[in-house]
Amino acid sequence: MNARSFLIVVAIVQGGLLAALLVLIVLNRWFRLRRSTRLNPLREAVDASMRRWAAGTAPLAGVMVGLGRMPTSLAIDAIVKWSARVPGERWRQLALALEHTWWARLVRANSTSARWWKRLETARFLSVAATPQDAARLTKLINDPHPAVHVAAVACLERMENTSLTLTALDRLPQLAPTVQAYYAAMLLRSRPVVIDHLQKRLRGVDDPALPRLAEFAARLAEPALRERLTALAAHTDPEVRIQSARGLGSFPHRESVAALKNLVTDDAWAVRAQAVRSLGMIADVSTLPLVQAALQDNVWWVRLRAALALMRFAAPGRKALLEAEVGSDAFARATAQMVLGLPAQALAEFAT
Amino acid sequence: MSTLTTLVGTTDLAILIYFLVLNSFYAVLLILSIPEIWEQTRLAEDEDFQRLMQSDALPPITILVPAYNESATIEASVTALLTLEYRNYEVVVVNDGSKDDTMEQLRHAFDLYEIPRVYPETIPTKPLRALYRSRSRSRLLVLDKENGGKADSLNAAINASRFPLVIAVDADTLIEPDALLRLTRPFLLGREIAAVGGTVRVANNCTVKDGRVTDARVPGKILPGIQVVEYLRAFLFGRLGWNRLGGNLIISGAFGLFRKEYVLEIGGYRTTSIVEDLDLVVRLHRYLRAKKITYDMPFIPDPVAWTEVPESMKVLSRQRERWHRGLISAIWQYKTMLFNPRYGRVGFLAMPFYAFGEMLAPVVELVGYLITGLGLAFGLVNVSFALLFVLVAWGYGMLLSIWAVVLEEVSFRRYRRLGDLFRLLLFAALENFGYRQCTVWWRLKAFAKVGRGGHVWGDMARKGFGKASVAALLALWLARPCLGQSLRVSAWSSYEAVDNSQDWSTLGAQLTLTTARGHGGWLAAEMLGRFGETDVTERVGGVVHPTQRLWLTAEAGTSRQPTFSPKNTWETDASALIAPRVSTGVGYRRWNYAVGPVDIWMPHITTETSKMSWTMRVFVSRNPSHRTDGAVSLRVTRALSRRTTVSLLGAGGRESYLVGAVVRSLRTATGAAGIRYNAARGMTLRLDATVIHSSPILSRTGVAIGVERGL
Repeated sequence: MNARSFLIVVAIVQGGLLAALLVLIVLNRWFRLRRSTRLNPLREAVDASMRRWAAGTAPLAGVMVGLGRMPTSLAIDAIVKWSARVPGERWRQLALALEHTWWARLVRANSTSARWWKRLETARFLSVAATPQDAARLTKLINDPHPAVHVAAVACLERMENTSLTLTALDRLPQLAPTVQAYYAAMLLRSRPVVIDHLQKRLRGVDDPALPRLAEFAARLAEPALRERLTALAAHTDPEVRIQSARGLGSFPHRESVAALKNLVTDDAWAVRAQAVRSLGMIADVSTLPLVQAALQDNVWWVRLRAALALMRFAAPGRKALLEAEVGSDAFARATAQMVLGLPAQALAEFAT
Repeated sequence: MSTLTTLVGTTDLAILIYFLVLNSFYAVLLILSIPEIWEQTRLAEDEDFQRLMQSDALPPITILVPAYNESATIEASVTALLTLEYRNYEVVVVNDGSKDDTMEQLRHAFDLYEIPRVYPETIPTKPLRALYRSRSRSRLLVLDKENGGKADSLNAAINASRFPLVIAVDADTLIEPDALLRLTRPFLLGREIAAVGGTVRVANNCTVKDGRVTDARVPGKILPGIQVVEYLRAFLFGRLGWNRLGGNLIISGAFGLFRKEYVLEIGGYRTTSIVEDLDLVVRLHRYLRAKKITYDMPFIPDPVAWTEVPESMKVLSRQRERWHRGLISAIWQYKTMLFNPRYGRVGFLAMPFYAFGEMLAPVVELVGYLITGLGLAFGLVNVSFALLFVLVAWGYGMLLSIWAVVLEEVSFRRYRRLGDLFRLLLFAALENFGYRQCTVWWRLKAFAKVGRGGHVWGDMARKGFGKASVAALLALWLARPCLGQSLRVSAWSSYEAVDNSQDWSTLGAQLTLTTARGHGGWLAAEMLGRFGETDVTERVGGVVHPTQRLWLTAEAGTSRQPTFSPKNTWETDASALIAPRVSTGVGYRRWNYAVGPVDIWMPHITTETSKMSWTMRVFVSRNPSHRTDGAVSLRVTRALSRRTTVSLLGAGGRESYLVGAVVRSLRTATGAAGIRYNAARGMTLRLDATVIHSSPILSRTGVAIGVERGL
């Protein structure tokens, strides 16, 4: 084949591809139009029957019929959308009724599919319509390697109280990236007793590599039952654990917490000192005022800022300390005090978050 | 005429190969974009935004808005930014010393009040005049600073930002309400994100209400219309394809999210850069790869920001020229990343693609047009063949554009009207006729501007090109008597991994003219990367062959930035055939380093058998420390077949090297193996591997490739 023949073949192939793409565009438009013409009335019918059922003016059967007529993915979309609008007890009726429908059985069966999008569909469905019989499936889905699947599956904990599922999610929590972890934490809040019980055990393992993440989660819960464990962690060798301990202890105005924070405020790691100062501000125990005042002279800007903001929470004594610092001899303390005293209440509130 | 025929033929062949390689790569991107868009669409459809909005899991974000003379639109833009669907974010607007009343507009619209500065200046910027908060919008922070450009404003905004993620948006960019939620999807998928890019679409002709695009339309005017197709192609298939290859080099400055921690580590945006977003992304890649940090820089197609594109040729030409200057600048600035294994796929795929596929594309296209024109004028190129070639090239471009339209149609379908679809297809077809040639011209102008010594070239430009011009004149003088004789072009590149030091790299090319009697001259240039610095050396040399048995060679070289290489080098050699198949000679080399000269004497002997050749060289060098070093090397070359030759080299002894500010004597043992393949049409390919044990420092292993072509 010479160069000319080659180019002719390429030109013909290109022409064919161009034509195919144009046909594809037209077919896609036509298909979508047809689909939306067919599905829009069904979607509206399901919405109407859901509305009536949620208000108690129509039986559940109408909803089931409507859902059964829709393609599975759209039915799941409708269920997820309405799950936030229907009260819990009523929603449980729907979940139980869905257990026996053919399409829901099919969706459940997809929990072991090799294709992640099928498993994602199942996870989304079970996140709002799971029954106690789905625990094993959900456990598998929470342990799924695809992030979208396990993130969708863990949302089931918002509606289900199941110790084994909670523990599965808790075990996975430390291995996750911070954002996913925060999402898991939000989902786990409903199962508080189980979580706290489990955390109390896990927080004892001082060599546990997951400890920093577990401590972070414990701090987020602000649960008095965990105060003792968080206080013990204040002496941990890992600065990341101490940071979480310092953060968590701010929620507990207890003398042991204050004692631990007093130690942490002189920690070698500046991030620990900053957290400890912030927590002392939250507790606002007057006995710690000199320590917070001393932190105004810290050599790290963030610690000084946190100290100044903490002093503002001590009300009059704190403000007085800042005013003294503003005219004091230490340049660092003077600048920070000047800066924070100039902030309006709104900005102070924003900085406190 | 024969030279012209060869020139046209060779250039045509080179362009054809370039065209095939580049378009094959585009085809790969096109294929890779299919699963990528499918996955992204799937994830976007299944995302539960309601739940996400209620959860406080999503990371807080700071939106950075640099504004310069944006008085007319600033209120609407900032209002739209303040009403995005996201739980935890703040907006930092920077008035970059606007000459209009942008600051007044902001003050009035958002009831601003001055506050003291409450953050450290992590990245140095132009002085800040004042800092404001809003009484009506607690998320808003406004910085008023002296004019320093967009990059400087972004740096000031980064300094003031409180949150770990920052998004840079232009003040005239309209962000869709759920764009932030969508943009944070990779975080929720647990990926180690360094930056995320969203789609930028063309807002011209769209209906905009309260800072939101409510009805997306394709402009009827040809210039913005073609840009809609260009944007679709760049975002929906170019960047999606790169997602799978792991080397996204462009996160749009008009809408890109970055992890602040990394941006701060690399010192923020570079204020001297022409295209600050590209520069930032390349530096991020370089930093993260060097630090061996696991990271991802994906592009997500469904978060959308809308921007107005130029509607006049004048503005568009300025924009494209600036973009291309930025690309040239970035490629030049970070050339050490090219083919550098340390930077993985970025070094081996993304950088070479942007250097050879994007940066050089207009040059190749221009050469193609010129050569074709020349060929047609002299009857060297068949007219119908040339037309067929142009048709195929344009057809391919059209195919790529229509593919982008298909991706848009099957995924997000923002343009719902049939009329818009028709316009998209029309503009995809029209793009190749006129518009494309204009962009080639604008991009070529960027080269010209850079060549004239814009600040793009940094230190290199200030050094001037005087020496190169002398070398070029000398080469021309040498070349004159050799016209019509044989001409060889060779190029080589090597990479050496050096123990406890930055790796070394070399890129060189040589032009050799030889007469039928064996006289010749050459001109060579080499770009050297050593110890993290770059130098360019030029050499010019010649060989004369006064009798059948004698060769006299001389060569001189200079260096542009002699920090690690000699300021200049001089070399002569006299060799004679003393017996059948035995030649011997002596060479002398003088390397004038900044710290003093190194003199090297090199007696050598070569003997040949029918299939093998043995060369032994002795090196006796005297360095500025008045130390005499000696080394010996033996090279054995054997022909494996008619086309293939292999060689082995062993050497040992002491050699003088400039290390830091002194010439040191290093104990070295060298092993090298190479293979040469003589392909058809006078083409020779070579591959060499070397292992050098050097004590106490600079042990290294390397590979070199080379290509040589006789014309």
